[in-house]
Order: sequence, then C-alpha cells, then structure tokens
Amino acid sequence: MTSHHAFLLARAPGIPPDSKESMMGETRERLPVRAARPLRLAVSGLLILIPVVLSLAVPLYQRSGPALIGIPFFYWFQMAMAILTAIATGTAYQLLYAGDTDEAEAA
Amino acid sequence: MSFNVVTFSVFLALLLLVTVMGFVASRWRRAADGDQLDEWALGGRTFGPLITWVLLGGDLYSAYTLIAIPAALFSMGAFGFYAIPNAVVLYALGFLFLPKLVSLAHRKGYVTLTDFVNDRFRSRPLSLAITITGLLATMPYLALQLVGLEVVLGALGIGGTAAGNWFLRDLPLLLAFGILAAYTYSSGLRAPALIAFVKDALVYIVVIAAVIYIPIKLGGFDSIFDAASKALADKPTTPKSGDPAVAVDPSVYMTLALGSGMAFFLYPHAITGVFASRGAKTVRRNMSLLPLYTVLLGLVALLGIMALAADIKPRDGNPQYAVPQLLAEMFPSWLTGVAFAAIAMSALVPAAIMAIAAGNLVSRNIYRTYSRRPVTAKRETLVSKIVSVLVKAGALAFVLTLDAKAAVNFQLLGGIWILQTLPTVLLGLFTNRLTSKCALMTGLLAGVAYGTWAAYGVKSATGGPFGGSTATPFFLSSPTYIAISALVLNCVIVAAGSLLARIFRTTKQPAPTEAAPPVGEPAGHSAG
Repeated sequence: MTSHHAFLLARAPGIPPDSKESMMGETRERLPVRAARPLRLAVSGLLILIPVVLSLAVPLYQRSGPALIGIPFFYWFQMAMAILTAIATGTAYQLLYAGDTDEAEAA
Repeated sequence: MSFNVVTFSVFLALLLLVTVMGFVASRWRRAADGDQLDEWALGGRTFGPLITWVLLGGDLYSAYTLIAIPAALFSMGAFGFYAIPNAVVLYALGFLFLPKLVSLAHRKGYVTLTDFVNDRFRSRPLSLAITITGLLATMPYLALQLVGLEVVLGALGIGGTAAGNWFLRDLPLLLAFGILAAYTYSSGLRAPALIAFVKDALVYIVVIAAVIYIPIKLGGFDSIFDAASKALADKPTTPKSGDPAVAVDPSVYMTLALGSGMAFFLYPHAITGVFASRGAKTVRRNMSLLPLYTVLLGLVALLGIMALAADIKPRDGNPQYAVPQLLAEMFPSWLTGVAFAAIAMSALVPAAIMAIAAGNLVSRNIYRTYSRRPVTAKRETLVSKIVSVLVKAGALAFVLTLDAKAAVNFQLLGGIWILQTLPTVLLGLFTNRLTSKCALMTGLLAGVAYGTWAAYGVKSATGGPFGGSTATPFFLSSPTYIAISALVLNCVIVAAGSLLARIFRTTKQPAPTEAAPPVGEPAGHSAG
C-alpha cells in the first residue's frame, strides 16, 4: 500500500489478501492512519456534509425569489447544490487521495 | 403523433449505428481469457474514468429518467424536482463507501453485491435475501426502460395505436429488444459501455439545444414559469396557498430525495457499473465529477415546466408523452430525430446493464452457490448470458401483457425493498459492531414486510392498492417516503438485535476483556 490513507481502503498493510482476518482487523489498523491527518479528514467530511444537508433542508429553499434568469430560487438553488457537491467531493479527493493510483489498490 | 420522414430517417440511422457498435464491442479491449465471468459481465474490470463516467451516466440518466422526471413536473409540479437532491445524496454516499467496496471487489473477485455480503458474513440466508431483493428491484426497472422505449416509438408515429393488430403494433419494440438481447449476449458489458459514449454525446446536444432554443421560443424563463404556475394552479392536487410552481410537501420531498438517493448504489446495475471500473481512484474521481451531470438532469426536469408553459396536450392524457411532444413541436424535424434516438439509446444502455446484472446474480449467487457439482467459469458465464436474454424476454412479456401501471407499482416496491439492504452493506463494510447476522436478516425482512404493507395501504385515485410511495408512519405525524420509515424500523431492529446477541454471547462465554457490551452507534448511523 503506497498511500497514506488506508483507512478508507480495503487492505491494511501486513495482512495477506486472502486471510479472513483482513476484514476483521481493519477497524483497528485504520485508526493510527486516521489520527495522522485528522484535520484534512474533518474538513473533507464537513465539506461533503454541507451540500447534502442544504439540499435536504426543504423549508430553507422552498420559495420563488430571488430568481435567476427567471428561474425560481427553489429550482436554481438545488442545481447549485449539485455543483457544490462536485466542488466538495473534488476538494476532499484532492485533500485525501490526490497521490493514489488504481493499481496500488487493486493489487 | 404523425409520422415524419426526416425525423424517422435520422432516428433509424443513429440506431443502426449503435447496433453495429454493440456487435463490434465484443472485440473492443478484448481480454485473453474470455471465459471468465468478469470478462463478459464487467468488461474485464479495466474501465478508466471516462468509460466509468458514461457507464454510470447510462445507469443514472435512463430513458425512464429522461421521460418520467419531466413528466412528474408536468403533472405534479415542483415535486418531481426531488430527483436533484436525490442525486446529491447518492454521490455523497457513493464517495464514502464505493471506493472501499470496489477495491475489495478487485482483490477478492466480487462480481455482485451478494459476493461481498457472502464473503463478509458467510450466511446463506442473508446472501439469498440480498440476491432476491436485487433481482426483484431490477426487473421492474428493466420493464420501465421498455415503457420508455414504447413512448419514443409511439411519439415517432410507428407502432402503438397507429397500427391495427397487436403484431404490427409491437413489432418495432420486439425488433429493438431482439437486437439488444443479441449484442448483449455476444459482447457483454462492453456493448452498453461503447454505446453509452454516443448516447451521452447525443443527450448533451439535445438538452443544451432544448434549454437554449425552447425558452427563446417561449419568451424566456420568466414567462415560462408564469404560464406554468397558472397551469399548475388549475390542477386539483396543487395546494391553494403560495406559488404553485414551488409547492411541495417538505417531509415527503426530503425523505423521497434521501431514500431514493441512498438506495441507488444498492441496485445491481449500479454496482455492475462501479465494479467494472479500474479501481478506487477511478470511482472517487467519478463521484466527484458526476454531480456536475446533475445540472443537466435539472435542465431535463425543467422541460416538464416548459411543456406546461407551451400548453402541450399529451397523447391519451399520458404525461409521459409531454416531453417527446414538446421536442417534436419545438425542434426542426432532424433534431427531433436526434432527440428521440438519444432517448431510445437511454433505454437500451441501462436495459443491457440491468440484464447483465440480473444474469450475474442468478449465475453466481444462485446457480453456482446451490449447484451440487463444482461450476466452471465458462459454465457460469454461459448461464449469465442466457439469463440476460431471459430477463429481457420476461420484461418484454410483462410490458406487453400487463398494464404499465403494474411495472410502476413493482418499481415503487423495488425501491422500498432495495433500501432495506443498506444496513447489511454499510455496517458490513465499515464496522464489526452491530453486525449480528440474525439481526441484519430480521431487520431486512421486517423492513421489507412493513414497507410492502404500508405501500399496499396507500389508496390510488381509483381506490386500488399501491397508490403511492408515501404514508404517515406510526411514529411520526407527517407523511414520509415509506422506504425511509421501513429503514428506521430496520435499523432499530439491527441495533437492538446486535446488542442482544453481544450480551448473550458474553454471558454465555465470559471473556476477560471486553466484558462490557459496546455502546454502539445510534440506529440512524447508517442513514448518514
């Protein structure tokens, strides 16, 4: 495992891929890694949560104005949340996984 | 609608092109050992970010979506727009759990979600429950893609009520699905993956053309929403207070978005698209880029509002014809042909993926698991291929013999059922706590039973059962999406059952360490 963030990946280092313990042992294995970059992890989690909470907070956006090029607030706000989701997950990706490769994980 | 030669020619030419592509796809990125199931079913698990993008886009933005979402706005107003927050939820959740799942799948050779559950829990009943739920949820979805295709063919003026006898009426549909079954059989997942490129490009062109061209013709979004508000105000279902264009029941809207968003990546066809990718990085990049596609979906949804403003009178009073008729009325004939071809491809791509996913569930998780003798990879692949043809035939028979309403009812139930597999998948993936096999199984069955009972109790306009997917659960005062109330029940059972199992185990075999039962996470944890 070349990446620093094994906590979200399947395999913890040092465990043979086929052993049944790899599933069981991973909760313990991932803790030190999680502790290593707590700030980045917390920021990423929060970033992803914001657009989700906002797009489910219906009373917040259930109104007509202000309109954007004639589109009521209700409609354009939810579409803006989709863009915000892309920004949030994109930032989380850059913060946590930028150096990853598919091969390292699929090995 | 009347038959137009130019529209039909453009439509036919584009469909012939993708048919050729579907057959040629078997040679695209061909692997050395074609007998392995993941060669045929997952394209050899080599798809990079771009192919995964179009493949998942093909799953998400199906013909049913392109027709039913604007149709919902056309007939019920703002309510239909819940598809947008639904997409936000599904990408956020997908970013969280899919990368881990896909790296496990690569390492251990999972083809289906049941493979993961089986490997994690080693419980035959639980695995079988996941398999059957997946199959039951996929079948009506597949049938609805056919309904979408039927609408396009009807809008083209071929088939449908225009022809006299049943054979001529259904011939175009039979032909389209016969060809689809043939190239899916020979090329596997490579066929929809390759066709999805053309489909995506055409959908982009059509939607962008529509949202620029139609508002200009209708005098801008201001007058579109004015006219749509007036049209919606006349409908008996619209509340009388406030702007009719933004009238929704908040609790229904929120729980529908949340529930259908959380359910999406549990569907077998979505998992097939994800497992076919090269690895966790590819999936993560997709989950961070695909939300942009949601804007396009929002614009598609607005076509329903435009159809209201343009005062479209859908054929047979069926709102599903609203968008095809709007496009035919507004666009030049050739562009209408492109649009109809795009919608037809949006039916063919997910239908192929769904049939493959169903085939894999049957061959790997039923046939191989319950076969007395060892099953070779070649035989497993063959069973998968045959089942993929059979499920298409089944869906076709379903649509041709039963009312389309039956497919909608089953799809509604399928959505409720599939969400009940969420605790098993998420808890199994991320924790060792709260994962008693018995508790997960009981929770799933209770969720399915309650959801079915609650949905049965919703009266339709004609007084029949399965009138809708929302009801007021016994523990709340406002109406919610039934799948969510069933999931709450499911999670409570899983948490309580797992804690009981833990206490029972520790008292039976007193262990020196960890004597205290874990506090555990709140039941709603998996819903996050």
